Amino acid sequence: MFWKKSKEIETAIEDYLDQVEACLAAFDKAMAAYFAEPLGESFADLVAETSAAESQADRRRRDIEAAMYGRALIPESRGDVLGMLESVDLVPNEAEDALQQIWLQGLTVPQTLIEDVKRLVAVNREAGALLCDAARMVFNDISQVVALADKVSAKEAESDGIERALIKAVFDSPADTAEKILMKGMIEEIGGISDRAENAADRLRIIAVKRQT
Amino acid sequence: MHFLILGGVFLGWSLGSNDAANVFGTAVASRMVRYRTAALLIAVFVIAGALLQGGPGIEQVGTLTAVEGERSVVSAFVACIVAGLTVTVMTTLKLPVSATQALAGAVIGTGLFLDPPGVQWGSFGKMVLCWVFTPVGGAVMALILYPLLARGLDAMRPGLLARAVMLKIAIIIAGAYGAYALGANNVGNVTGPFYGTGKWGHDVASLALIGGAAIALGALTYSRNVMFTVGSRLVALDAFSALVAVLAEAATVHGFALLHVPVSTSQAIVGAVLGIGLHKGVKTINRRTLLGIGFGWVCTPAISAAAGYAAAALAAGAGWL
Repeated sequence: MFWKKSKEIETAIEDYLDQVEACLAAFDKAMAAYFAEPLGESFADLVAETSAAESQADRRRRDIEAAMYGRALIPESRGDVLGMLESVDLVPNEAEDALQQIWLQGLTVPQTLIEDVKRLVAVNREAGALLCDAARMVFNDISQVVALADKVSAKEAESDGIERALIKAVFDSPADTAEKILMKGMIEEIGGISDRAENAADRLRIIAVKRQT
Repeated sequence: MHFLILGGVFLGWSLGSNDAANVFGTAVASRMVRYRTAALLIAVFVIAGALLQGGPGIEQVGTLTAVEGERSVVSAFVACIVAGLTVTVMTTLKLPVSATQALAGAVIGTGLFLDPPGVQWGSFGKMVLCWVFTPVGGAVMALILYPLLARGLDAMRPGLLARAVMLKIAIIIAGAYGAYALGANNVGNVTGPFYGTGKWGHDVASLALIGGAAIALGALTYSRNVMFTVGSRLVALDAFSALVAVLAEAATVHGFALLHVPVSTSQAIVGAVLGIGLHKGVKTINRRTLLGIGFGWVCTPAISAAAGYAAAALAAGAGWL
């Protein structure tokens, strides 16, 4: 009886993480479309697709939360799972926000910075994927969580480096100040994905360390 | 005179309502197990423990004094009521108290009034020695069980939820075992004083059944509050440590049941928690906790012995003894 309930929750969490990855994949595709044709139709469609994936992830998370309150798990596990979901959920939120900012503000990246922004997107996408791997390991083999959380932190550090270099380059460019500020906001928003991923990974690390008997 | 065993039933009821928390408090306070389910499990396993392994403990308590005949039933009744009241008064004063130690003191007190040379100091000494070793035993069991179970759990490499489910099942099993050990060990306190008296004579099975049922009744009717209070204190431990604490307590109390000596489940679990602290490298030991244990060893039996002596004198003055 207990195993069945636990399996149901595990499956629901697996589905949720799949949805988070789907959202990050849509973000990745949207950014690729943006680099090909800034603010084009394809980009607009993929922004909408990312938002839909994010909303779907939200719904799955709420379903899991409702299910968990009705299940008699050990409270410390319940608190940890709910906290984990809350913190992981900020990652697709941030990806969606970054795309919305670009779309709503009609931002275009100067040609000279495109390669670095592409790198920033790739590193943040990888941080999100590693976080999903770490979250899966919480339910499969908790001993691997800390190592994966460390990889997320490494990606966040790499993202910080790219972010700082990009902001410096933006403010060194001849663009007007308003444009520079908007561009800085966009870079920080994309870099925010790995920041959120690192916060969530820290939470997973604590969950794993707490269970080292 | 048969109704006088109600004194033992009263003590059993108060013991059951208090000590149920030591075996299922963690599971109930953390809402892993419903109170009703826990109380039913305790009732079943306490009675099983009392019937299957409680007999020798009953005989042990029953032979603390050599009071015989009609007087022995009344003196047993007096001892049980004195012990029950000592537990109640000291609980009200928020002083740590063990029904086991209160009862042994009361039996000795009434025995000292009625037949001083008949008091079996040798048996009493053996009991006191076992009391001292109860928290020590709890700590040692915890020190053995913690690394052993931790290694077993780690070897299975369970995920978060699988681990939670495993711990939940293990805590329920440990609670049932704790209830069994409680019945086997503590039934001697409840109906032991009536062993060798009047109607009950040497009918250990009936005394075990009545005593076990009395403890079960306490768990079923009045243990909810204590379970939540004591349980929440233990829940401050993580689930794995709570499991080790309950298992170590149960194994210790069961061990003393095999030695035929009733001991305190509360002191066993305090010892177990101390043992877990030692394993985790906690250097400081709460002086208040140690004082509480020492108080239980010395003051509880001393107070209840004095009260038992006084109550026996009053009963004799009233012509009942």
